[in-house]
Amino acid sequence: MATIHIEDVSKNFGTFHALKNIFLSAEDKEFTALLGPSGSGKTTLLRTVAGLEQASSGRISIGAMRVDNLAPKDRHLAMVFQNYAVFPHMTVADNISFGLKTKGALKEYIAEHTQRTAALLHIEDVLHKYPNKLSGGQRQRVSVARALAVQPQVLLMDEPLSNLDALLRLEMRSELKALLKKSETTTLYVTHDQIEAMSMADKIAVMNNGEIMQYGPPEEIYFKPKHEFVARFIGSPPMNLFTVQTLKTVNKKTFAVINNDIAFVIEASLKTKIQENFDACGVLVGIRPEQLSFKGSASHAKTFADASTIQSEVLTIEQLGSNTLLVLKSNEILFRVMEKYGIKIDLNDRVTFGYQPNQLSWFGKDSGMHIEA
Amino acid sequence: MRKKAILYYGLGIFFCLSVLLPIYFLIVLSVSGRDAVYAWPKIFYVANLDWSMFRFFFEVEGVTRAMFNSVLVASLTVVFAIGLGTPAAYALARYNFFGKNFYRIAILFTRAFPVAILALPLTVRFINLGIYDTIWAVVIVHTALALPFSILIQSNLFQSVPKELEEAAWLLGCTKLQAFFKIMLPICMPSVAATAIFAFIISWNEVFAAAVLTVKNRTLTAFLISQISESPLFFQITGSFFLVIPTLFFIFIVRKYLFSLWGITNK
Repeated sequence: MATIHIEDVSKNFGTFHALKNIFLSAEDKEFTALLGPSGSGKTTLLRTVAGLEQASSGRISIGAMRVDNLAPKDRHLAMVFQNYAVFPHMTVADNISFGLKTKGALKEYIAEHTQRTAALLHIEDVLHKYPNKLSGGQRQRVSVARALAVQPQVLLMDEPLSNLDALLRLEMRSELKALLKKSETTTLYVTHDQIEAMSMADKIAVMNNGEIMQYGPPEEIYFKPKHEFVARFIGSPPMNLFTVQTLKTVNKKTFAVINNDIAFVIEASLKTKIQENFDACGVLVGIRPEQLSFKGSASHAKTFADASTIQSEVLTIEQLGSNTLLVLKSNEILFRVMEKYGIKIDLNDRVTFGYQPNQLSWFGKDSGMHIEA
Repeated sequence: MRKKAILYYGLGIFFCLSVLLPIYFLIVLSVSGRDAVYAWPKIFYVANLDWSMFRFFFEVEGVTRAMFNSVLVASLTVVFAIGLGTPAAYALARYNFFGKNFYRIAILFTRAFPVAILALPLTVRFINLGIYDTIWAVVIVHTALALPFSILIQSNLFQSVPKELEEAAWLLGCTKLQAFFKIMLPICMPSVAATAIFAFIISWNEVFAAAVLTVKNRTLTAFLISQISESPLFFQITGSFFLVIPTLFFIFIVRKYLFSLWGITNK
């Protein structure tokens, strides 16, 4: 059982707070992605778990064992580095067996296990070669094989795919996912690539400024962002966020008015909470580009009678293959809509989009916190 | 433009010849026998090989002893310059400690005072310690001269090795010391060897301290400096041969590493 428990961990570099009171619990065999922009503290958190950085305060446990005062070698974990860190003066075989040798495994076991791990990563043909004769992708495989060979309780990966070219990255991504599923290793995976995190991870911890903004399964991160930052950071293109100008009640329905063309209807259950937040510090409303659907050209000006539509003009049209990305403009407010390929639309058309009121996300403008019923 | 090129090449050739010609004559004359040394005009090539000058040189009393001392002193200097210099270099490269920048400069202080000024106090101190006129006195001074190079060159070297390599080794079950010997040292070995040879050359070439601090137990340089002025020309030539050629030979072996250590790209 290799759970990871991070409790109230902080890390300061001088006066800079790299990590602020981090809590995170990863279950056994779970794949957790630490996702965030550069400088958000995700690599520092990973290195703190590894023991390469000393936490300023807090506790870290792996399984039942508290590890934050142990040397890296006693923590029973392995790490894959961004720059691979393959030992240049050793052959691939020596690289893979390095951990087993230092741990004093039996010779026959080392030979057999090295072979097996190499086969797992499809590098059995280059075992006798030196790293400088290998491609970047092969080096990455060696570095993963070296980490897996010691059968660690916990595997830490620091942006392992970021140095590979796009095609190779895609290939390695699915291969790595299958491999880690099979090896049943608890994994912490640092990445700034949200697609990588979404596609591989069981859970994602979105980090910003040394804090975990949200921790949960990918769908939850995507569809129910708990914080404005998560809404802006996740999704490509990210969520559209509008600043609510006024709240207006028409025919017993309350609308969050953005401008003459755009107003979002507020669900009855949220009405009081949003009113409170609006009075206190303002409110943002968000909707994902693909959650807005094209309803045809706008034949008349927006009225509050058609509750779940908004109107605007088409500024740009980008064909992205299977999808079409529209940038729309309404009185200096820009937002994006993702539509299926084949939509009949022209530049500067005035068009109507529909939305589902229950798909809207509401955030306090100053706090950034999600507003819930 | 063309004139400039001619000027550069002309100067280049002039300086090369001014260094290379004496060395060339040194080699040719030292294997051509006594008669060739005194003959006029001088010969430009070896007519018939004659080792008699070397034979004579080694038969002179004190030469073999001095040569043995030189090798011993230089070897011990290497042992201390590497043995003390490598840990210091590693500390400078990988750790942040109080006074690190001052320490880096302080290392160079040993080279800031000319040996001529230090000679008298050192002599007094060594007499008090009872190691005056032993090779240890010379070894201590030579180590002090070689250490700054050893430390600064190696710390640059260690710094150029990605930290992740060591970190990977730590995570794979190595202590910091094991990681140093299994990862850092093998990767840096060629350059550490070059540093060692460089320390050897510093000691082999050093004459002043060796001459002041010893009377009987002289190194080859110190021995020759006291002998050469009152020796015949052919003895001077063989003596110079043994001072110059080993140094050149070693420098030649490690030139590639010395260039890269000093930041000159070797194209």
